[in-house]
Amino acid sequence: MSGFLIRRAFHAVLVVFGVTVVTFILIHLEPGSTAKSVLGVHATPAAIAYFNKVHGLGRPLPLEFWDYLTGLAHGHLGHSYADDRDVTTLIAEALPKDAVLLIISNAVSLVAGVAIGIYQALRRNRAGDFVAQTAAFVLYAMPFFLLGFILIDIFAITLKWLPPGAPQYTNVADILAHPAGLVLPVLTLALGSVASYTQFMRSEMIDNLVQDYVRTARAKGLSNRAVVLHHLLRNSLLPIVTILGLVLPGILSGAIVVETVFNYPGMGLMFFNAALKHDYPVLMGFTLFGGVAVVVGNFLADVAYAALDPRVRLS
Amino acid sequence: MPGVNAPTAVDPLGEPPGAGPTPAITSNWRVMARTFLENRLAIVGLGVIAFMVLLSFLGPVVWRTQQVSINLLEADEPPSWAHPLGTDAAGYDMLGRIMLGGQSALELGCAVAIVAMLIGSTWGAISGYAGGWLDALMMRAVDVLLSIPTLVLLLILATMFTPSVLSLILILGSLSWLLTSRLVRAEALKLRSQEYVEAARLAGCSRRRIVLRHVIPNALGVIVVQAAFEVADAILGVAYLSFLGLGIPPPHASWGDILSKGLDELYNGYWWMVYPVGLAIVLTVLGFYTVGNALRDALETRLQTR
Repeated sequence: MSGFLIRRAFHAVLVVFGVTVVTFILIHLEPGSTAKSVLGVHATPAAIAYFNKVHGLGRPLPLEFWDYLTGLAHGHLGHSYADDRDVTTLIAEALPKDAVLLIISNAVSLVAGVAIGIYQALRRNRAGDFVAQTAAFVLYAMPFFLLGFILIDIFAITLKWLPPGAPQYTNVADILAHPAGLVLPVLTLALGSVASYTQFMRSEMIDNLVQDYVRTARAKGLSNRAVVLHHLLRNSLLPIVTILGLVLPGILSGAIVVETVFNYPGMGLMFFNAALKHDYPVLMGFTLFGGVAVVVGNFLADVAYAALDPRVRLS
Repeated sequence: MPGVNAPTAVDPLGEPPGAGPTPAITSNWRVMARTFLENRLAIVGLGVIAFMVLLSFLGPVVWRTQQVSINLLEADEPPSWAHPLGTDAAGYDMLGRIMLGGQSALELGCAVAIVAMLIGSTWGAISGYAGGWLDALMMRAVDVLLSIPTLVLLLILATMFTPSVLSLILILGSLSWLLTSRLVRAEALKLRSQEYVEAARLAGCSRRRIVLRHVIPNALGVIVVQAAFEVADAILGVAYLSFLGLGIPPPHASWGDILSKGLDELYNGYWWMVYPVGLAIVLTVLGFYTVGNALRDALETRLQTR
């Protein structure tokens, strides 16, 4: 177990380092100079030279990369070109808002997905299963922004039940105090990811239904309810831990789109605006943050799975 | 399982071994085709794709519309006999617009899948066949790229380059080969220890020849399955970029562009600018997903009968 942990942690650190290298290379792939794309094509040479001096650009790449790494080691993610603030400050400001949005929507989709998946497995190949299966396929194929706008069309424009935009407050307490605006963004993100959970839960339950331990439990005379809740559910829920790690990149991509649709002032919207402004320090900081979140999430999922399921001893 | 069906190694006369698919493998492909055709969902998916291809490429021949000059006198019209799906804000016929958008979506999707297949299979085959530190390095690179959310990479790359059809194909292609390379590598690892590959090596085949003639043809199944998903993902990816204002530039029609322009008009109640084109995207993506799924199932059956 400890050997597995050490190897897995080493791998995670390696991948995080790779993410910093990739983001650094990506930013420097841009044709032309960064200074020109930020300051505009009419920037004077003096302005460009000043910009480069201030931001430490236009030097040999290994040197720039070394400075970037030492900065990271000191906790500096860089300084925004457009906003004149530290990227760490920007992240610290936006992160709680994302935490609210992503945690609530994921909790909703996880609970709904597990419930629907169980229902489907127990009613396999009947009408309900077929409907849920079709819905899952359609949700897979639907772009997040279309989903968001369909919900806006139904609930905000036609029925006028909910506001079409997200709450525009700067702190989380205010956002939570006005939950009506959160409903549609949360629903969009939840619907976007619920299909992964229903599909996984359904096939996992179906695999488990034919196992010997289920037959034994039934033979002991346990009620169907007890078999499903105490035996099947426990065994089928375990592997969903790994799925939680795997859906994370998709959720972060989804957050960018959903925050743009509903104008929710989180990291996704900030990232999108930074991309339009060529605000590279912000892009690098957020990409690194996202990459680290995914790597750590996967690492935790692997460890949790190995710890929870004694049959899994990854060597 | 491994090696049971491998073509007879080297013949006594020293002919280069296993140049083409052997009869046994052909019959396996037939098993795969049969399993695929028995899958009803796959037939539906194929039907949807065929419908979209006909609509996009033959449709404009039958349903002739004017898609070049703006006609504000006919702008924002709801569906009628003259315009079955209405007109958009510039007065273009929506049905004709969707057909044109379908051409670019399908062409772009296939082009991206081809780029991804080429990069992914080469990367995976080299990695799996070489083994050792090179394999480790190449696969860690894949891990790194997979752990950054795709849309993040897409956005960064798309804002950097002036959008054009070619740049979009290259950008999307350069991000969608990752799973292919993993699958091909796994296949290459399996094959590396097979007798006929060993024999080919002993017969003096170069590494390049072994990879090209043995590893990649054997991994063709997984490559094709993955390609179906890549087409679907590329169509979605372009739609996302169009929505974020970074899609195919104006003179070309694209579904994502039509859709995001329509979404701006949703508050006016112009539903016909949103739902038909949305349906086209969802149906096409679904078609490729179901075909991909069915191909994967069929491939598993083929491997089991092997």
